[in-house]
Amino acid sequence: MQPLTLRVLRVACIAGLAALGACGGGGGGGASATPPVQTQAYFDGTIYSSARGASLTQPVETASVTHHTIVLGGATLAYTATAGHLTALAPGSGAAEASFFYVAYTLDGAAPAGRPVTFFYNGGPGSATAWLHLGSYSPRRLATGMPRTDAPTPYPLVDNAETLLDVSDLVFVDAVGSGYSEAVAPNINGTFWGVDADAAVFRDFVMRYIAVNQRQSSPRFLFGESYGTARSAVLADLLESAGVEVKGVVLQSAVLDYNSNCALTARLVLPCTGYVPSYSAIAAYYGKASPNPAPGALPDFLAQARSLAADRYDPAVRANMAAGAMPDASLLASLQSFTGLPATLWQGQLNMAPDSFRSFLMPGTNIGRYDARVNVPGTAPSTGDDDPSSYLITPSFAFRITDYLSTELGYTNPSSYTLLSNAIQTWNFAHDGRGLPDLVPDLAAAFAQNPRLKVLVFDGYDDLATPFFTTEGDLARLPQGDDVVVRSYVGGHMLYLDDDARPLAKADLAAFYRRALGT
Amino acid sequence: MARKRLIAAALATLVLGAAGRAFAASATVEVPMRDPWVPPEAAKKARVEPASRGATLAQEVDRKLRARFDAAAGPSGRLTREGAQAAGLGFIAQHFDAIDRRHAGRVSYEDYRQFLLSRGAHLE
Repeated sequence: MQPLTLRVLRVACIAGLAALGACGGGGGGGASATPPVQTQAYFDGTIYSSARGASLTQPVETASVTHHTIVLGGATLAYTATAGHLTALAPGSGAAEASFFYVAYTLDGAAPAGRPVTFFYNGGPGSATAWLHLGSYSPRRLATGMPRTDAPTPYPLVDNAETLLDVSDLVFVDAVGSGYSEAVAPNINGTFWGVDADAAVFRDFVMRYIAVNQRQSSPRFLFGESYGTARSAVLADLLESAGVEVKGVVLQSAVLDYNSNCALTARLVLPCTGYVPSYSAIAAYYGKASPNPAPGALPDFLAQARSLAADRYDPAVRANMAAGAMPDASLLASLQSFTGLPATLWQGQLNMAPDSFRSFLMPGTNIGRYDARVNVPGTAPSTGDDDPSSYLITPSFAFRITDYLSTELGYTNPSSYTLLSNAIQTWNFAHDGRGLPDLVPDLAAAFAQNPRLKVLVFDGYDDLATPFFTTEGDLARLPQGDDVVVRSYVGGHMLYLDDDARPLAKADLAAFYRRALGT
Repeated sequence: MARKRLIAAALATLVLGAAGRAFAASATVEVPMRDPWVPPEAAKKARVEPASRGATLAQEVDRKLRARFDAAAGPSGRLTREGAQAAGLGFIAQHFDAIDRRHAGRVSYEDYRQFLLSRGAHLE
């Protein structure tokens, strides 16, 4: 099937706001080193598959190009959106590995040399990047109203006052076998379904993007979420090693050591110490801590919860797991006052896993895993997706992504966009001699090669997937002097969906970029 | 068979919004979103010894960088600038002159390590 390329002006001029120079590609330019590309829609007839054994035979590097404007703080920014594919090439041989689907937003009129470029990806593994793309810091976002559950759906797509486009060019890229990304023969999608192979092919995509777009002198940033933070640790090390310096890495809801999160290990062989401060934050949200902290007192309350977890709960739960030792009454009383769960529950189940906490905190109410503030009546269903903070938002992202690509960005494809593939079920989690990956050494290796590297970590207090205290513990393993900043907010795993947290996080991002760039 | 697949696809694209209203989507969700998560077999492989930190973490980083260097250098244990570039070790190629303090045209892992230490890397 031959891809059909046609030019239309409709998309660029649809709002009637596009600057004269940006509409149709003439004039304009200013300080830009490259002339603006004419608007072009792209009907990509290739059928993409998320199947493990699938591959493409003839990858095509074609993209739609559209021009847009957004008003930020009273100023109008003109930008170009590019949506299509680039082929990751194996180092050395130059053999095609995988055809990556990406959407890039570049500010018009900016000189590429000093202009940062940030690569965004979700995790899973097996997830497309639609969550970050339509939820976080792109110029358009879905107004989810989270943690409300009564917002009309499908959520409307709105201009994003917190877009990071004023600071950096943005590239949203889908992992192999998700979105419209697929392996190139003789590889199959499954070739890249493992910690090391996935990070390596992402490295090759980043290098391809830089080469094709002549961004060799642009400062580079990585922005991953959840499993995407694990990918970022490996990818940062691989990029530094390849001679592609990374200025900064943003870790949204990090999982840097799969061996430190009790919910990821079988039969609760690890203590759930890292979750106790999250339980406390969530109890406080529901007014179930006693005494319940006023909103302004939350940081102090959580500092005490961290001490309770590390100094008193952790030794007790280890003694309980090793020899069945029962906790003393004063610890049980403290756990009750911080987490809102009765002491008797803690006595019977001292190593409390997050799904147990979810089922106990609010009897008759199902609270979310990604964002425990999200709640619906009833108990969690025992099969399928039991997380209301996930299943309530998924249909809107699934509905909007292809519609947005086609209607606003001029990229149309007849295949189904794979929002979540089943890659996770056969993913090779082995890494550096371990069955489950520990990515802290990878991040440390990136710092070893680039001591100027900077890392910004975002945590949500109400996230029961990647608890903030566990992340803090993982990061504390890094040597003093490694430049890591942690910012934590009331909010869930996808902190950026929260209308209060997103502007705060955007300000943190802007400050982080300024510091990383020395501006 | 083809017909069956078509029906399955149609079902997969009809999704129910929070308001209970159905709307069509052309994106596929093959598994519920549960990130991070590992399959039960992999979950049994969790590390039980304490995580590396301080000197043990530094040694782990050192081993990691050494293994990568050794794989590229082969039995000689030495890399030229061109050899580093060809092996994808662009960082070593870019900094080759600074790493090659003896001006030998070939560098060892120890040369590379000393260069990293001189820039403040924690490797011991």
